[in-house]
Amino acid sequence: MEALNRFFKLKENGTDVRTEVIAGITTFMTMAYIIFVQPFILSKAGMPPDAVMVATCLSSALTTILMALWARYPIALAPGMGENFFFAFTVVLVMGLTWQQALASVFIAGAVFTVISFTKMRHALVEALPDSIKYAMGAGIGIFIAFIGMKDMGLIVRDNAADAVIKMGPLNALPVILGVIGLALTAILMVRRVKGAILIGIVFTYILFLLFKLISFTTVGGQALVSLPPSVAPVFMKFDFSQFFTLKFLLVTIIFIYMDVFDTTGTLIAVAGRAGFLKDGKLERATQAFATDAIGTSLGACLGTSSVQSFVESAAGVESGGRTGLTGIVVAIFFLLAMFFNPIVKTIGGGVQIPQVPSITALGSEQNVFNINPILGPALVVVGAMMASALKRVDWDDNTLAIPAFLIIIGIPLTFSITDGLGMGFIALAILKLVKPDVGKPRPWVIYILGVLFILNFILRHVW
Amino acid sequence: MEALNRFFKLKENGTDVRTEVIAGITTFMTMAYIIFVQPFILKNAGMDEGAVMVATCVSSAIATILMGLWARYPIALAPGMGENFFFAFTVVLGMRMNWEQALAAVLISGILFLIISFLRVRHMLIEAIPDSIKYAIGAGIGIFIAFIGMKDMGLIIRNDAPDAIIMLGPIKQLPVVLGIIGLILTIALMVRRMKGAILIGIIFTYILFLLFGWVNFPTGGGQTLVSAPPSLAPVFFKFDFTNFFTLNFLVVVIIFLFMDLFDTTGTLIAVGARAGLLKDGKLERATPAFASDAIGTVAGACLGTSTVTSYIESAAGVESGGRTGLTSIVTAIFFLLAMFFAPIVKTIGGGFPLCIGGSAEPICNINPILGPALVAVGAMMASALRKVDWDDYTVSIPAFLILITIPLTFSITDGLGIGFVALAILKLVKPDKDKPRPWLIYILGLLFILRFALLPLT
Repeated sequence: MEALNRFFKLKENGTDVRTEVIAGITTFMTMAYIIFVQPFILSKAGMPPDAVMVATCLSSALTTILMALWARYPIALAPGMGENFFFAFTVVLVMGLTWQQALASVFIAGAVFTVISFTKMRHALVEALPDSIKYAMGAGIGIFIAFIGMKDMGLIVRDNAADAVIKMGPLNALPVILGVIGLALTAILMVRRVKGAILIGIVFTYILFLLFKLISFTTVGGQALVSLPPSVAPVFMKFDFSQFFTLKFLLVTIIFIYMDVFDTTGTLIAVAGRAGFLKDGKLERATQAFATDAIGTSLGACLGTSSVQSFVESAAGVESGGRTGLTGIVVAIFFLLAMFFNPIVKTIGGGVQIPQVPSITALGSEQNVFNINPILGPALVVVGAMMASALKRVDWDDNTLAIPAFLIIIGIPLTFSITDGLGMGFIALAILKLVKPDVGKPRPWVIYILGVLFILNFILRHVW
Repeated sequence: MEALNRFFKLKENGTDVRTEVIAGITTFMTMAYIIFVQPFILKNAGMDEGAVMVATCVSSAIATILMGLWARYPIALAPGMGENFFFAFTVVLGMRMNWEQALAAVLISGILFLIISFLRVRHMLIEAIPDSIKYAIGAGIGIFIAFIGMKDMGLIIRNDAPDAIIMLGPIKQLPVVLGIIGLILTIALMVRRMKGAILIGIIFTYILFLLFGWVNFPTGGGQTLVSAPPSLAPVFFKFDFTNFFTLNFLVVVIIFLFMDLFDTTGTLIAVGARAGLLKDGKLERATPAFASDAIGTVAGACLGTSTVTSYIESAAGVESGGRTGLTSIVTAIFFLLAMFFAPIVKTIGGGFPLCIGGSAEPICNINPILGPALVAVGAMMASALRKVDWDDYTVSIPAFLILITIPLTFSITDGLGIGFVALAILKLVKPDKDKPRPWLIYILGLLFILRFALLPLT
């Protein structure tokens, strides 16, 4: 105890072991949903969910320990929401890279970010883009995540009528109703500020589906509730650099870098600010914190998961009193323990067998059988709603920013592709900043270059 | 001139005839897109384009004159964006009413609005709904409008792969490329604060399509550029009250009423404040202003167009100096003149099939000439997002649901329904302290739950 106190300077920071442990548990509870969500998302990219789950827990634990011991921040890390959607839905499913190539891109992004985090370039990079655009990215991805959540719940379905696109799903189908109940409960818990609302929401929805026998308990098929962690081998060090010299790879890597840098900057400032590490507008031990985050991304890629980064959910632990790295250590221990619960994770991410529910096919469109995964859907909708709060920070009065921001916000969900949505917004931004550059400022070359890159990307992908 | 000065108190308001005329023209330019857009939208509901165009011009002129003479506000009215989408895409196409029934619902909502505008209930109704939710509705409809604009441009199409849903359209196809160029020009004009940017954008895109031979100039078939206004008869006084006593009709009337109420309140306060009509937090002559708006809706329904409401674009005229009702009178005169341009309106609203990969089989029909205007209008409406209270989950979660489900369910009713049910539940679980229970919200929530429950049966 005394050693802990000395190393983490608990007393100096006005905290004690008990407070730190509770803070660690709180933070873990609020972010544990990623253990369920990450394998589910990356399995859409064709990755084996078992191995991804272990990679997720391991990389989260290792980077959180690094953050705790080196930067001594009460901040936990895990694969970021947004980056994982970009990885699976855009890079692999839309742009056609393999997941091995996508992991290679994440690895490079992490390596570049690591270099950046030790230099002044970090500021230059963050400041090159207008704040409105950064917030719009976060909000647009939030809406995208919620959209996918609603699609997974069966709440939004494709409309196959002539000239139609999408519509509300069959609200009289049992799995949809149960998902809606799960969403209502999750939202209620959030409103009542229950710690771990999202995790409890997932577990509650899971139990609902168990009760109505839409999924079976994991013991079927010889599996136990708890088991030894599966092997990480299927995804470990599986890089494929064969696309390295393509525009696609370059663009994806740039987007990964930007997403990671922005998210990390935002999270560190927000959470560390609340923990009292922001002094005179500067973060204490900022380099260590950024470097940890950056190293985590490369480490995650080696282990086989998408960009690892600081989680804004760490604010929950800070609010309950966590002030030092000890909080992080506690979180990391729980991430390691979580590896033994893979059987549950698997059922929750497994989705519902639609043939058991004829009403969906009856009310949905004729030729379509929908696959839905309603257990995690409510969690995604709520996470999306939290990310959308960035909307308030967009400068809606300046049309040179508001219009590109709007295109990003709606383009990302509606094209169902983060790259395409960003492309629309960045091209518009480049054109508008060309037509009406800021008075008294140097020309925004980074924006022009990004605009050209995105135009090239559209031409290469869609025209030739 | 002296009579004008006396009636409108030009001097007292620090303005003159010249300034007012310029302001009136400015306002007309910024909102004239509705003359093209309205027939195009209501055509989706099966209504006759020419007749809707005339109904739109006449009802806009009537309501704007009333606002100019009675309330003496420099605010112009026309069929509201949002209400027209609700009318066509949700009430008719989504809820399967016919357009005559939808017009009946507009009429009833207008009459109710007229009654309310003379009563104190107006404040209660407006205040019963949290501001965040009102702003989210505006922004959600804005996103919906932009979504439809992008779909009309061929920029977003359905993705028919298994378990997929939507995706980026074929952006190498010429009509899509031309639409994108039109959008770029429109937003470039907006950024440069050009008056009438949207109108110029429509005309520019139209010329582009003319140049590339995708549309024909309206001279063939005996048509000319200018013609006598088409007949109003196909849509005039075509009410159908057959489903008056259904839950659907009730829900639709309530939504029309609330949309009109929120839009009008927002516009009158925003534009009125800039015109100096807001004194001690109160609008001068608020009752005549609200009543003019309500009468506009009633007149519009009778003439055959969706809810007429005060246009936020009037701010452009106010910014260029308009302070009195004379501004409105000028705008109204231009609406009446516009009736003679029906042939152009018709060509601009016409669509054509979009094919990909050399296939003769079209994947969908697009209307790319008006698409850019819709995207731009949607972007302007989205600025309401800033005003949502994102820190209070009891309103931010419902607001978020409204915001995204209006476009994603492709239905304003469904999106509002999801949001209001969430709002009712969350306000039940965590009511505001020291405030009376929000009964109106509970009732609305219940109404929408009923609607969802009955939905699969109808």
